[in-house]
This record gives sequence, structure tokens and C-alpha cells, in this order.
Amino acid sequence: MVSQVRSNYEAFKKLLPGLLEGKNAGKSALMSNGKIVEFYNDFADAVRAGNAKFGPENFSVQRVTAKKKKLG
Amino acid sequence: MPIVTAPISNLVAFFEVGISKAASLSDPEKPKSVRILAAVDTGAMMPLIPQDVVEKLALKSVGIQECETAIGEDKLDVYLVDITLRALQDGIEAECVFCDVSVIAGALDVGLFSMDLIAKGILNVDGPSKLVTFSI
Repeated sequence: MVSQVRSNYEAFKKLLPGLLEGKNAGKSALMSNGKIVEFYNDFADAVRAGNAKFGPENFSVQRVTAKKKKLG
Repeated sequence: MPIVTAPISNLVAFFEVGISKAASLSDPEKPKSVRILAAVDTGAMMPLIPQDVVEKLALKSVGIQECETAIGEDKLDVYLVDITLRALQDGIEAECVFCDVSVIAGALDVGLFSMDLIAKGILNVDGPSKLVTFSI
């Protein structure tokens, strides 16, 4: 099974500019098959929902933010 | 994004802590839930986590986190794993943990833990239960 993480991420990057201007900015987007399924306030809740709805590796979660984590 | 093995002394792990510093310190005996978001090699600036840890915990990436490192932008795989913070055993190590929390994001729900704590036996990977115990 090929993880959807990368393909979902590429789709998410195209959607992000519009999302940042909407009500879901700052939330976590549950994605499957390149589409956003639902938004969650909590990242972990989105992952749990993805596992329950689609099973491992059939979903991914991306935060609706343009901010990058600073790691060094 | 390949996952490769690297010297553990170079690794830091990026954690999301589900509690505040104040709550943690007020009840250090109580296990706390912490989630590993990602791991990064600070020497090579590559997103990686030791392969044996990945296999032992059966980690699956659940998303991608963009980040800035000292040499530029990078992307990290995001993992979600429950770990348990055990009782306060060493004040110095606890202080290191929470100093990094404030440094990395200015927020108490994000932490940067030195993975060389694994080498010191402070962070233990506990097999197929996907439980990692982190003693501070």
C-alpha cells in the first residue's frame, strides 16, 4: 500500500492560499485521495478520525498554516 | 522522503506535549501523554528517525510539516505516537526539556527533546505496544 501523505500534501499546497483566508485557517485538515474531508481544531483528533474512517496510510493531516516550524 | 539510520547523538525529536509546563510540574508523578511529531537530524538537517525505532513502533507518517533549519527550508514527516512522561527523576534533564519548549515556538505545547536521552537510557522504546516512556 502506498501512503497518501505526499500526494495529499501536493494537493494541499495548491489549496492552502485560499484556505488561509477562510474560517478554517489554523485548523487541521483531514485529507484522503487528494481531497480535504473535514477540518479539526486538534491535530491528533484529525489523525484519530482518519484512522477510524480510512485506516492507516489511507489519509493524512495537514495544518492550515503558512508558518514553518523553526528547528535550528 | 527516506527514513535512514543515523548516529543517535545527532538526533533531536520534535514533540507535541498535551500538557502545560505548570501542570506537568504540579504533578510530576502522574504519567503525561506526549506525541512525537517528527524527528530531525540537526547535523545533516535531514528529516529522519532511526529505522529501528520506526520499525519497533510501526510508525506511519500522517502528514508533512514544513520547517526552517539553520541552512534552509525542509519538510518533515509527522508521526503521532503516544508516549508517557514518568516521574521527575533529574532536575537538570527536566529543565532541558522545558527550556527547549520555550525556545522552539514560544508555546508550552511544543517541545524539542534531545534524542541522546535515548542513549542515556532516559527514553525507552517499549516494543509493539507503541509506548515510549520518557523519564524526566
